[in-house]
Amino acid sequence: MTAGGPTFPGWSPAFQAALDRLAIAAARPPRSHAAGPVTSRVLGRALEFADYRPYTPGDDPKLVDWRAYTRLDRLYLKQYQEERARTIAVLLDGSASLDWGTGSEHKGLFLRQITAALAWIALGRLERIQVWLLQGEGAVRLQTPGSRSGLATLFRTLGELHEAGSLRLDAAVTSAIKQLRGDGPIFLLSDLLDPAWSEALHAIGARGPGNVVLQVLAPDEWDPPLGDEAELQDSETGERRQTRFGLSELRTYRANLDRLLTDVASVSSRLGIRHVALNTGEPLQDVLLKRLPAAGILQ
Amino acid sequence: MTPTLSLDAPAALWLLAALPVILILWMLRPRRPRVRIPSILLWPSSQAERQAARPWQRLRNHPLLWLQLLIAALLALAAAQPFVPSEVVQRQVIVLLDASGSMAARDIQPTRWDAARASVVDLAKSLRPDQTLSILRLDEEPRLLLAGTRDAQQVEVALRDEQPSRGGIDQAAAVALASGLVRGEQSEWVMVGDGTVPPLPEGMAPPSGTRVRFVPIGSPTASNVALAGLTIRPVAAALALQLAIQNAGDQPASGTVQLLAEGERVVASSSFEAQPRDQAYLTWSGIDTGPRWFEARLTSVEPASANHLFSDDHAWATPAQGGSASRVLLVSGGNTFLERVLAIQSGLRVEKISPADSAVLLAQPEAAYALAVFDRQSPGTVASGQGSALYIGGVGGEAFRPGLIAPRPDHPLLRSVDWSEVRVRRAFTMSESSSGWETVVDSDGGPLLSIRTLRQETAPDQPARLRREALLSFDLGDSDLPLRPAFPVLMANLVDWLVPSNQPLEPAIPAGAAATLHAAPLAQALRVEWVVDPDVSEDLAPPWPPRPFHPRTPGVYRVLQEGLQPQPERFVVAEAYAPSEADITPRTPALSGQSGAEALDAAAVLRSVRGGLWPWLLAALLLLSLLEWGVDARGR
Repeated sequence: MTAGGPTFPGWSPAFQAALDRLAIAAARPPRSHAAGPVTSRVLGRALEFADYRPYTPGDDPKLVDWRAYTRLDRLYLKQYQEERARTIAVLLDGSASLDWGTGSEHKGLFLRQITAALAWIALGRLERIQVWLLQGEGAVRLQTPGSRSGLATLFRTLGELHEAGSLRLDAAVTSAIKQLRGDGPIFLLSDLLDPAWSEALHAIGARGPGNVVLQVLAPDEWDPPLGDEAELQDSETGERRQTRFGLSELRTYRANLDRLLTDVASVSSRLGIRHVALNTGEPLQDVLLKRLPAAGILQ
Repeated sequence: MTPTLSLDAPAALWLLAALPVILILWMLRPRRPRVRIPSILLWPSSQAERQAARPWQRLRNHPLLWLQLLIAALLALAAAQPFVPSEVVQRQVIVLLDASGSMAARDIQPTRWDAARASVVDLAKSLRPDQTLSILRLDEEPRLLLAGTRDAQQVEVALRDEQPSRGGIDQAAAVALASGLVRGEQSEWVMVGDGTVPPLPEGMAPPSGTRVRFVPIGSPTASNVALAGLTIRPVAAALALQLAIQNAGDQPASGTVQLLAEGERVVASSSFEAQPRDQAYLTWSGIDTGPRWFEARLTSVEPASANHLFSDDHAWATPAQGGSASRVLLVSGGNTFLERVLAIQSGLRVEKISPADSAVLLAQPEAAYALAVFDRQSPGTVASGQGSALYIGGVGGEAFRPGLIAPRPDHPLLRSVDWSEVRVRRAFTMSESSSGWETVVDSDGGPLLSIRTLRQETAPDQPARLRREALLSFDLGDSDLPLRPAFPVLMANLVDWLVPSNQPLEPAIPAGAAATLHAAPLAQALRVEWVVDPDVSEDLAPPWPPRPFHPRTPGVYRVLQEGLQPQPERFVVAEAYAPSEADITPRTPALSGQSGAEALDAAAVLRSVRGGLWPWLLAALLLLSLLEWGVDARGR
């Protein structure tokens, strides 16, 4: 497959070409009835041979291996694994907490670029993709094309998107899942800076294994700088907290962050969710071409 | 008694109101810059955050709070100008300021005198509001400089023009003056000086209950080399001079002394070496007799630390001043004893005349005699223009035979005169018209020896002069006095009193002291002038008798007597060397040792701190500020 069609702002042709060589790994076979590029567990008509089984009345005579009958004088049916289509769901955090960082380190932009890349890869593999924007307590499905030719609209929508407002992650994820059609993997793209992150992960984990959580944090969140006393204000809730960017406070913050990452990884592992924590300070190409393939999310 | 802190500006303590203000500021919820972050989920909550809804917060026990309170308190204290008062406890403080010659020493810079003045000013600054300060200047003539003040500026003004004298201290006069000043009240005496104070006379002491303290001034290693005396004696046709050099220090000293004629021409220069606490002598011989006075000048001393007092580095001397002999007229019909005893008196040129010719001679104004001796002649025959008179016999009163002779003890005219073996066969009482006589030798019949001083008006435009008379109320032939050793001594004393010698009675005036210069009987005025600068002069008489001469500057002074022909040239030396001031080593004064006052703490009594406690407070503030900065930085 070669590069072609619309491009996301800032993408180079070489990067887009590199994406063409990637595919979204399937941790579980699709249960869809529609034909697709992903091998399903359903045995049937396909090109990939799976096994033989004795003929039983009612089987389709077209599936009988007549060559084996001539040799063995018994009727056997050839079985093939059918390649079924899957629907990939991307749940994109659109809350104000993602509106953080400047330039390429902007958390919201970083996740929108990953979303665009996943859509590009999925549609390039003739897979279906749905993008849900999580805001408030609900989820809004963005208009998603069925082929790359229609990606321009999605790309424009993602480019013009502005992260704002509050988010109840568990309610929004649950809302999105209820609206999902298909059993493809779910990609949750969020910073998980929400007290209800665990409930959200459990809602995703209830769909079965093979889902993905990409947790993204800006460099300032990974390593906040020293500073004076300040009144912190939560960008989503508006809640204020008196603190100072002193050594002791930063030590506490880092301990809290480490605990959060450890807890998320632990819960994800228990629920069969692949969790990757990303730093928006990393180049997007390294994330898509190295980190995610290394984590088995892309291949 | 431990001194307590006093404040010079206690009104400034209202600045302590800053302390509650600081507490209030710490209790107020601080307004911090607001920072919008993605989420506060990971940030630790603080005490302030829990109380964010209230404008105030609970007071935190934070090192910064204590440091700020301490700094504010120190600033308020500094504004109140604290000082540690002296250990002076009484309300009335008498400062005995040593102004003796040793206070001019430069062992501490600039001089001991300046340091002593500064100490007194410090003491004035350290007084409590209820205390008053009086300053007594201690020298040969102690006097009160300031009474009952606590104004340090007033003290500064009073001491500004004062300079140390050259002599010692009249301790008894000082104690008497101070005792009169306190008027029986409890007082505290603070002696400021180097302690070179003579002991008090027996039985004299500060008032009972007086607390005497001492503020020592001067370096313990102070040394001095002084020129202790220059003497001149004639040797053949020249002069020989001898100079005594005193090393009053604890280290050997050497140096050079120049001998100058009349202060201008160097006639000799010699080196000397003096052992510690010893004297050295320099002798110059064959010196020309021409100069009227000589000066010895100490030009260099090695090591320089051996000489911290420069005021006694000069000595002066004048050769023996012969002058003209006084003319004495002996009016006598013939008296061998009298003629011989007058002949042996030095400085007299005796002329004898018969009583018949005396009236004519004495009437001539040009024939002025310093003394007329009348042997068996009636008093009152001397012309008014003449000098003194000695009457021997010839008194026209009633005759009597003295049985009991009573000479006045301790009378100067009877010095070394033994009257015990003198017998008088006949004497005469004085006429009733005679007045103003002072009896020197009395008897049961009447006075035997009398003297008087007459004030004699010469002319309306001329000042009055004094005329001295002595009267022996018996003829020498009526007693055995001429045969006794008392006779020449008595006559010498009488002649000395009647005709003051041309030599000054005080050949040298001790440093810092005053002396009475006697004038010739015919002198109409007495004046002294400094040979270095004749404009520095002083009229001593009239009025008669001359007032004491108190030279302000050591050196040689010319004594001028107006009305004498020829004008005698006399010099008097005001010495720079004071034996009591040569040893400038500070010591503990013996003031309280003989008194009933409290024991003297000679080491460190005055605890006043120059300029108050400002330097210490500022240093503490600086350190606290650094500490606060450190605590604040570490807290980040």
